[in-house]
Amino acid sequence: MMNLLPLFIIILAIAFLTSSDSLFYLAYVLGGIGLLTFVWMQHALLGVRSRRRFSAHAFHGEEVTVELDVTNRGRWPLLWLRVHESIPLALHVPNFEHRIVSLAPGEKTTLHYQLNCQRRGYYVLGPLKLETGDLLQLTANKQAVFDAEPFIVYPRVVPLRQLGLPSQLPFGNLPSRQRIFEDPSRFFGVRDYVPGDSLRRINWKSSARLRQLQVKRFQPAIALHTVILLDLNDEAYSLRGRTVGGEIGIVVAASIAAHLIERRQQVGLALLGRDQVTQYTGLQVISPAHGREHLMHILEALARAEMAPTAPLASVLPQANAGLGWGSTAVVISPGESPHLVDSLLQMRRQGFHVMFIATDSQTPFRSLQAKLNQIGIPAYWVTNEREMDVWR
Amino acid sequence: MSQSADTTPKLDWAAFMFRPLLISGMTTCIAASWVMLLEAALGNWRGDYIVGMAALVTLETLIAERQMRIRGQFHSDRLLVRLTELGVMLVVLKLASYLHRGWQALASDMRMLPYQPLSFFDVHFVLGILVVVVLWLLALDIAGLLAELESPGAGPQDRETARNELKNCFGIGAVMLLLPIGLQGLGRTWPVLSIHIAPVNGLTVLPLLYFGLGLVLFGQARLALLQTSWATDGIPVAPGLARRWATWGMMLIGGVIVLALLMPAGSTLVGLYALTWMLWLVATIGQVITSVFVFLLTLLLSPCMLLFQSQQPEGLRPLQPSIQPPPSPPGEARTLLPIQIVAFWVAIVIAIYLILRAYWHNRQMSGVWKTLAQVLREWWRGLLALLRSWRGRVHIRRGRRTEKKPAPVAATPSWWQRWQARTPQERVRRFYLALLDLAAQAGLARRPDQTPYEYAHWLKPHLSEEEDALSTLTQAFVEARYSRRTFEPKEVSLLQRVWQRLRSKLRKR
Repeated sequence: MMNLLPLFIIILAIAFLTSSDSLFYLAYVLGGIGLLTFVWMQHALLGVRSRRRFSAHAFHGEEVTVELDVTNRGRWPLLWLRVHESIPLALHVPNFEHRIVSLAPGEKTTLHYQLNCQRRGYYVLGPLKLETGDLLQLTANKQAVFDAEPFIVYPRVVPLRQLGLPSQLPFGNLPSRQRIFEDPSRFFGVRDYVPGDSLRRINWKSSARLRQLQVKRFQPAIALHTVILLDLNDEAYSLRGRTVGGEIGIVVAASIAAHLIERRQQVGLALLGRDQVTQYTGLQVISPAHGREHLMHILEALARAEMAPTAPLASVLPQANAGLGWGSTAVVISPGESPHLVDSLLQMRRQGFHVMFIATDSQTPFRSLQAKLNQIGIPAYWVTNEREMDVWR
Repeated sequence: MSQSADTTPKLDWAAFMFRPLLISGMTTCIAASWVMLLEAALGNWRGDYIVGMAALVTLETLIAERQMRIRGQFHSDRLLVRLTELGVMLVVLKLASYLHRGWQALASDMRMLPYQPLSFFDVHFVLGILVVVVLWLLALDIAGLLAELESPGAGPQDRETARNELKNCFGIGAVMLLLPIGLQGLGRTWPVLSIHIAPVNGLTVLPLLYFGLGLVLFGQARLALLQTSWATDGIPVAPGLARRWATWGMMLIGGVIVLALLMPAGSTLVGLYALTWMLWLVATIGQVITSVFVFLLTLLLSPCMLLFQSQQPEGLRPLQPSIQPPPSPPGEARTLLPIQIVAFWVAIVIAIYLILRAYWHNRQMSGVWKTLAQVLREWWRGLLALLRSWRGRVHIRRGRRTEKKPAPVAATPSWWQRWQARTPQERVRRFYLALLDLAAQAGLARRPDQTPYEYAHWLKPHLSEEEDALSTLTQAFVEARYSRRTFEPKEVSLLQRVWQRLRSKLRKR
């Protein structure tokens, strides 16, 4: 670091001793430059603003262009500015984008980079780190960090036939065109609140009495919903099939949801895993609804989902089905056989649900499981089409 | 053909010539300062051609050095070039020395040369050689360092070293520049702390120009270092950054130089006059506003005034400005001079203090600076302690003189204080006052609004196991101070022991 201060003091002292005009001027210049540089650096990054222009959601396989604007709204120019943007490695190689620019007051520079969305997930773009310094290195470099922004890549949606599933599955109410819905005039009890329940259904009096949120239950009227139960409990997967099996499960869930929404059916999601954003681990429920917006909601939840050790699927199935009426369809996507799973599915069947089971773990003994399930009238499928997953290998 | 022509990068002449021009400007300043000195010393000698020669020689040296490095010419090639350079330089210098003497003098000298060969080296030529060759050598050194800074193969460490050596060259140049300027300044004597705007001439401008160019050059060196670091990290750099760096650097330094030239030299008393004028201006504006306000008020109240006109023979008179503009600066305000000088020095000391504080704020000091800071800090603390003790003594003496009150007894009273406390009541009071003194030293000072009992209640938790002693001494003090009770010597002895216990307790804290 260059140091003007000793020089300034020495020259000023000599100037006083000798009354030399030139030395006085020299001292003024050195002092002025030192002072100006100090003030400049104090204010250098105060006026800098950044903005990312991009679509915050992307579908699998898309290429998203991010435009990062860095604007100097301050009154001081930035002689040099190091712009360093951190980017997730899954979206961009290398995992950063950087550049050196100089910005006059009011000037803007834009950094462009592409995100290659080949893997679903919840990502953050940034943080953006800026660094600047002065002309003579009289002061330490100044740094500023700007917030990161979320970016979601939806899971891949493929035609059901591509997954090895029949396209005319007996989902929901297609055959009958009749729907079972809960009639709010036929109240018949309460149950524990699970995430995803509408706040309008909370029974506040019971909640206050039991000191736990309770949700009203109504007797089902005639309507059919489909709920997709996705098991991302990593302890249920085999060691070899864990990574691919979970991803296949997510793709299958997304594809079925999209398939049903296209047919204007109501679809819900019960996801047993962890939310990357909230870090909530357990059962997350999205109530059945229809429409494209709802599909985006489901896809976003699937994008944010990750595998985590949770309670076994069999133990949470009653909770997952709590909001469903008689005759609804439950699509259970699970790695394969697990303790009490068949019993729980049988219980659901007896409660009046149409149950369909899809196994995703390539290492699971599917044939025996399929035989058991077929005996109790539950169709079972095995989706391990790894070719579809080649893209993220 | 056309393809190769397209792919060949165009030479950016501005960037190519910028640094050589800077250094050339700096050496020109040095040459000019020496020429000015020599002209002043030798009378009718004129050496302005030396200044031009110095500029050209530096420029040529720097460009030649760069070109040789680009072409990979080393050792013998370089020596040959340098020798040729020197020879040409001497010949041109010799010829240039006739610019002022005329070509007749050249012809005459040429005729005399075979008979008097040594006449070739006349005074004009030798002086020119001395100045130009010294600057040529300095330029050679700088050229090497500059080439090192710009070399793509040089590592960060090499560049840092080159920059530090460039600083040394700059320092040598500064000494070479300031020496003749200082020698010229010996002839004139300014009165100490005189105020004046210095005439803008070579003596004032040359150092500014030299330092300004030097700072721009250091800015360029910093850019070179940063560029190396960016290239190492593989960071792309936006085009035009170097040009902006140069432009903004020159604007910053040039702007500061222009501002500096507007400031007074010698001392800054002119600033004080300016302040006085500003105060006068503010007062005048205030007065105008007041007059307008009074005028409006008069208009509003004029109907009422008519009623009292008979009782008020004289109407409202307009206010006369009471504040006159201050007298013009120097010459008329001699009496203010001592105050102004003191004010000036105080301002300078404060400015230096603030700059030092800003500089060392959040900065780790080491070595000599750390020691120096510690010594200064110790001096300052010592000075403060001295001032406080002196103030305390003055306060006590003044208190004695005015109120005739006994001063609080110190923890170890002097013989005079012991003699003063000869009555039992007085001794009891002094025990208590000494307690207050000790407690204050221990950070448990009594607030002015606390009564003795309140204070004792507040102090008790801090003197565990001695609560009774504190209550006894407080009670005794209240009786000695506010009642006519007399104390027996036994009681005083007892209270003394109580006080000693409290004292030891307080000292342990």
